[in-house]
Amino acid sequence: MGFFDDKKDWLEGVFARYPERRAALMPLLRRAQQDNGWISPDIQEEIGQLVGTTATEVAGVMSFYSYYQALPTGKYHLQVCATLSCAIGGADELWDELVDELQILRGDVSDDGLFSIQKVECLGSCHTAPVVQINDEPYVECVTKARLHALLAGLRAGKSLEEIGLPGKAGHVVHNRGDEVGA
Amino acid sequence: MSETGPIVSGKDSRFEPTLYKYVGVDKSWTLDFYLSHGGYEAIKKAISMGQDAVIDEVKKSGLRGRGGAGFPTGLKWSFMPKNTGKQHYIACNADESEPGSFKDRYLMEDDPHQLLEGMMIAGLAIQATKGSIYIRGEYKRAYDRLEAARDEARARGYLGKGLFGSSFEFDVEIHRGAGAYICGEETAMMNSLEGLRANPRMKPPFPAQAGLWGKPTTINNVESLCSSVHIIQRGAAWFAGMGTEKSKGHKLFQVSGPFKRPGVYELPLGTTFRELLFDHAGGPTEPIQAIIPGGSSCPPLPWTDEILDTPMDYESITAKGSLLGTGGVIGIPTRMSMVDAMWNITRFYGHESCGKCTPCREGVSGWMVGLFEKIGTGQGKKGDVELLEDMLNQIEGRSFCALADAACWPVRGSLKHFRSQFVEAVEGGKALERAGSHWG
Amino acid sequence: MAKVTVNDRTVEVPGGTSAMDAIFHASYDVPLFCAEKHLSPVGACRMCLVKTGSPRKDPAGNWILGDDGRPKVFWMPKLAAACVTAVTDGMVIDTLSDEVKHAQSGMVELTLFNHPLDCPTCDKGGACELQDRSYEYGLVSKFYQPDSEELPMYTRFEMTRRHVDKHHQLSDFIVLDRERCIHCKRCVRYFEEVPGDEVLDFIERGVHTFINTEDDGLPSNFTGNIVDICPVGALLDDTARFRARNWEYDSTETTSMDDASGAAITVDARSGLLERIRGAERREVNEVWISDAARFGHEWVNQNRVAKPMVRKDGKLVEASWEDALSAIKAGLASVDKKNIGVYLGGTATLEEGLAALELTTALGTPHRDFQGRTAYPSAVFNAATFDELLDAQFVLVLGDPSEEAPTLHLRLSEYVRGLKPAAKLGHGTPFADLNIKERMSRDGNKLGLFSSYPAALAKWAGASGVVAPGSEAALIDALLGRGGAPADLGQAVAWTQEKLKASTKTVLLLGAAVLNNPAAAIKAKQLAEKHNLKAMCMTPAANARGLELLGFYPGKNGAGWTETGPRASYYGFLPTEAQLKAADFTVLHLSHNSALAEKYADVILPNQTFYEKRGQTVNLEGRVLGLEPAGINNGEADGAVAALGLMAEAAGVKTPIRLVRQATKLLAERKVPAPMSLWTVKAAGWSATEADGTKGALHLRPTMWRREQLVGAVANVVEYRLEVSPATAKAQGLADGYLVEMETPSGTEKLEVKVVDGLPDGAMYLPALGAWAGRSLEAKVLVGGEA
Ligand SMILES: Cc1cc2nc3c(=O)[nH]c(=O)nc-3n(C[C@H](O)[C@H](O)[C@H](O)COP(=O)(O)O)c2cc1C
Ligand code: SF4
Ligand code: FES
Repeated sequence: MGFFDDKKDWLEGVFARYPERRAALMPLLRRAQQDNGWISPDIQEEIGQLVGTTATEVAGVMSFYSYYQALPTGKYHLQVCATLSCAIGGADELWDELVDELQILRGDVSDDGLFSIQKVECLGSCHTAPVVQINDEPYVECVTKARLHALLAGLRAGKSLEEIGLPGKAGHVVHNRGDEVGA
Repeated sequence: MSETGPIVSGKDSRFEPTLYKYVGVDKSWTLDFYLSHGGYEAIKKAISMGQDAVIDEVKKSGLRGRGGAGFPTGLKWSFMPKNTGKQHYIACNADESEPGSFKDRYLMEDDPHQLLEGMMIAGLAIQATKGSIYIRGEYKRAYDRLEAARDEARARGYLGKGLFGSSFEFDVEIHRGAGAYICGEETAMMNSLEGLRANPRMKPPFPAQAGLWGKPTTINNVESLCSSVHIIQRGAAWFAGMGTEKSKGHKLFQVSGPFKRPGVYELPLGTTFRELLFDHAGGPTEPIQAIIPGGSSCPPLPWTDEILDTPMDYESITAKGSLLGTGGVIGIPTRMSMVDAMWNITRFYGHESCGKCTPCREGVSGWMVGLFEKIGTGQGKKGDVELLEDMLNQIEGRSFCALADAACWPVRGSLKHFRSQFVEAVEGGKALERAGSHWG
Repeated sequence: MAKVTVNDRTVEVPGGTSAMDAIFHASYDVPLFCAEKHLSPVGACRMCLVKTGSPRKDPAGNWILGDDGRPKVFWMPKLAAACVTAVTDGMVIDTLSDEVKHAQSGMVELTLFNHPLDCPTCDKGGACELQDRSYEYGLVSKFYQPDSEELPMYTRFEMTRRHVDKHHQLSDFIVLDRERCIHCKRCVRYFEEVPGDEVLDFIERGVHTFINTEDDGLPSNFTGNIVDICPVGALLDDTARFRARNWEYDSTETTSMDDASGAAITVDARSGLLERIRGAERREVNEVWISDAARFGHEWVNQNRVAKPMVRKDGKLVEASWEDALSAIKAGLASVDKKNIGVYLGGTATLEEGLAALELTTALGTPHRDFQGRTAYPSAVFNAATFDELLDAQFVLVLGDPSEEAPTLHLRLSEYVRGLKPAAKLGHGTPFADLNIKERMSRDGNKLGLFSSYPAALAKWAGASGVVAPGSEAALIDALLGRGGAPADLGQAVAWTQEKLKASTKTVLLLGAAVLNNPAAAIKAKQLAEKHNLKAMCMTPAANARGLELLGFYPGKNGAGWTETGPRASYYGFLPTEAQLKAADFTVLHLSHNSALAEKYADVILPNQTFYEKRGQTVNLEGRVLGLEPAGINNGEADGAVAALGLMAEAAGVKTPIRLVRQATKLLAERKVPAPMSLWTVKAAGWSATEADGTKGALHLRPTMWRREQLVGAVANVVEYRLEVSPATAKAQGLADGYLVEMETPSGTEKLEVKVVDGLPDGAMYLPALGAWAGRSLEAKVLVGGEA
């Protein structure tokens, strides 16, 4: 049975948003990515039929964007920003720590099936460098070593992001008043 | 501190933040909160003013696009054809992907209705009954808040047909990106919205003639649209009362890198770097050698009094050989080699190159990245700096879109001010030291 | 018109012309990689950067003058890509300055940076645009060589190049070398814009971008053209891999007789063997594109040829000379009444051969004459439409399957539904950067209706379409004429089509073999054509059907047709059926290829030419006369029908004015057959066909672009020669996927694998790839069923 067979209403909702079906391509890819952690060739083919194009076109679009994964990912896909401000903030060291800790590289999934990692480009949170995004969740910001380990421990313990209390400076300034907000 | 004449300092008592006034306030994203401080009044006023008056007002205000290019917003709106009988679109560029920029994010997270109202005003000005927000995929919270706000507005009759007892009609769709900087380029963004690979499109036809699905379209940045709300509400004169002769109004400046209080600061154009970085951001936490004034594509400037005392407006910064861009200031500490910093930025642009045109695909994504790898890992050889400069001459101004230029400018700037570091790196034959060794 | 000055020359070009074509029109050169004739310009390779400027007017409307008192040229700050820059009146273009040369040489260097230097082992070597451009526009010492001792360099980057898949089999016909790809996007644009099959695309982005397909084996009838347009050796014809260096080929431009559209092809032969076929430019017809059948279906030509005449001596066929053959035929015909001799030409016979045959049969006084693949109803009785008229039509009604029956039509219809008109003709011919063509143009289905007896690919562009069971075409056309109810669930489609027919004043009708072989339907099609005065294009199984019909070469009164038995002695320019061979007392087979049937029955076999080896003329479905040139293929003592029929005449003791092709050509001119490329606008009287002449039966021989003889080598892997039935029919016949059955087909009793296909009309069985027999129906006799 196709991935979208039981999502007909949702599909209609998406199609209704655009004057042409083709435009639903990215929302459909995102839905599959969110639900499955990756987008299998079968689903790519299915999406092609749904939006009226070929599997080739779907692959062309999918591979253009870094969010869509062509290989299975862990329960928690950790995306580490590697761009300038984060690099200044220690992104490379953070990455090395992750690799050491999880013993995986880009494309792998940790044996417990929990983790996979990916370096990404600027996440738009340069002032809270370094930054990590897990799956499609709001960012984990100002990721110090302590916070990173607390984070991994919490996730291993099956806690949700909200439940995990991260130590140390969390907030950041985002406006003239100068007081801190944020997770 | 002069309290007469145009306002060019955040410390001027006449200056009052507007765009970010409610950022960081609990529940600021709800419709009730928005209405509680005069939300959706500007659009009512705009409706009573009518299309042409709105465009004139925005023209008079001197508002220039805050997405980086700085094109006069009112003028852009006036390019749209009138009464074509076709569907017109106002597309909001919320892709905010330029490293060092994160201002639009909080506008959407904490004041989504401000953006919706701004889009309505633009919609009125260009006869667009449909708005499309292209928001970068990673901005989850911003997306959730925007969507909630949109649904609330729909439910309570602030979006839809016959709005505010007039014939005005407007609705908004929100489209999430999926991790591609190029989608910030307006024509690539349209391709992405249509479900295609995000390669930039040929101009002409310009979006105003044939944009989304071939229909007349105007693309504006989040901040530009939000600014239009206050311009309509308080009048062009109020806006033009801030800033310098050619750079009017206020802007959201962003600070990242080693400073005490990195973040977003809303200040009049013409405010000095010194005020932003010391008075607001609290000064550096370690020695700084350079600042990138407006997002990674702007040439770095040395950390000198001359630069620090430069007013942050389009003209003054251009005069110093850089750009205002998105107003995202990145401080580069002395501990990080400028070569390393440029390697990082070049890698970013190389990674984000769409691959359509030769100079960008082979030049930036291939050659420049490769050359930096070579130099950065200590395998550089004499002549590489000259070769790099020669590459810049071949790439800059010759690519299909401005991405390749954006990749060249910072490197060119670094070569101008920090050439010795490059020569050292090439001839020293040592791999560069890691910048973040302090991380812990 | 716009006045444009290119360097020192001022030319006039139509407004909207690209700067690139203005430059060529002024006979200057500008390098390019991504621009290509008949494809949308995209400005991606940046190779064609030039300096442009134009004079300006002051507010008062007067030209702003320079110091020299002439209008001042305001140069653009940036160089512009000539392929995507439209000229404006007064524009000035500079292609020679150092600034331009520097940019162009820089772009060559960038293009080469990741391109492998394996030219010595690359099939494109010697015909490679990148080689040529590097040589002409590559690094200029002026900019790069401080040290004049240094050899000229092409790229100064000594880092290992991109290493990716060097031998990626895209399909059985095409192999891709990803390292060589320079990302001009021609191939990707081609698939989307020309055949409309989006089976190839860019994957990834930035420097990692590569082309790939997720649709196995490139499902499209038109894949080979990407090999022609690839500027480098990235996309290569696998049927011709490593056969020769480009300069070793002996290349001949001629006309494809694979179908009736008359596409131009270039035949590349080396030491007597046909090695490769490429598309050739014929603007009026195929532009530059050809079908995969016309390109890849050539491996059979070199195999199993009849090289010498053979005569039967005491029951055995033995090699002989043409003289021996002559005496053998003399002997064979001695006892036969001249009126009882049949003359049957192949469907690829030229006008020359047709005339020779006509002269001979007249001299013999025999009514038994015909050409293979002649349809039951004449095609030349319809007013022919040209391809230009097709693009100009308000509505096009298709009764058949152009993608298979006359593939060129598929490609031209793709232009038609995109609203494109014939390309402009400039000093250098077709524009390289036609700004009227854009990426992803929408296709307007409101101008196209399609009905076929088998699901057709082009239905995707039709506003209304339907599949009619073979045999019910007549009912459909009746309905279109408003004379009867529409066949099952075609009501809407028929109504829609009727509306269009009424509304349109310029309609073109495309007729396929299924209709033409079914007079009951064809007669009504003729009435439809007269009612709405439609022009038609007949997709006949025989490439030269229109030409031979115009000559009047078809059976006389009581003459036997090409599928029938009758005459006691016969000359066949093709392999007839076993029944026909059995029936005649004496048969002369004029064949290019050996066959068991011939071995068994022929009295004399004469070595024949394939159409690649002929000189002469043919007429395509527009009524356009087209020339054939012989390629350098070693075919032993083979000769064409003119020579063979000369032999027949001599043997039969009759005199005809034609012994040599040259004489025939001269005679044709005297009989007002126009010169090649011009239209032969006469209409044939044709023969009177009745419903009785239609073929009936459950087995429908559906038209495909592939012919039986082509199914060898790579083609055999690709083309599925199966017995196709709908699920319901399979049940009814007790068949299932993979079953092996034995069947009577025109090529004898055959073992066929059953393929169950959804969406086929129930009751009918289909068999593809029978060339001349396409569109006919036979009694289906499943001799032996059974599990696979
Ligand atoms: C490579 C590239 C990336 C861009 N990224 C963004 C972006 O992330 N956000 C944005 O608002 N504008 C971006 N722009 C500018 C847009 O193309 C466009 O000029 C702008 O959104 C127009 O809105 P404005 O006039 O209100 O500034 C980018 C331009 C280029 C060439
Ligand atoms: S394969 Fe050839 S045609 Fe296709 S993109 Fe690459 S270079 Fe161009
Ligand atoms: S550089 Fe990491 S969020 Fe911007």
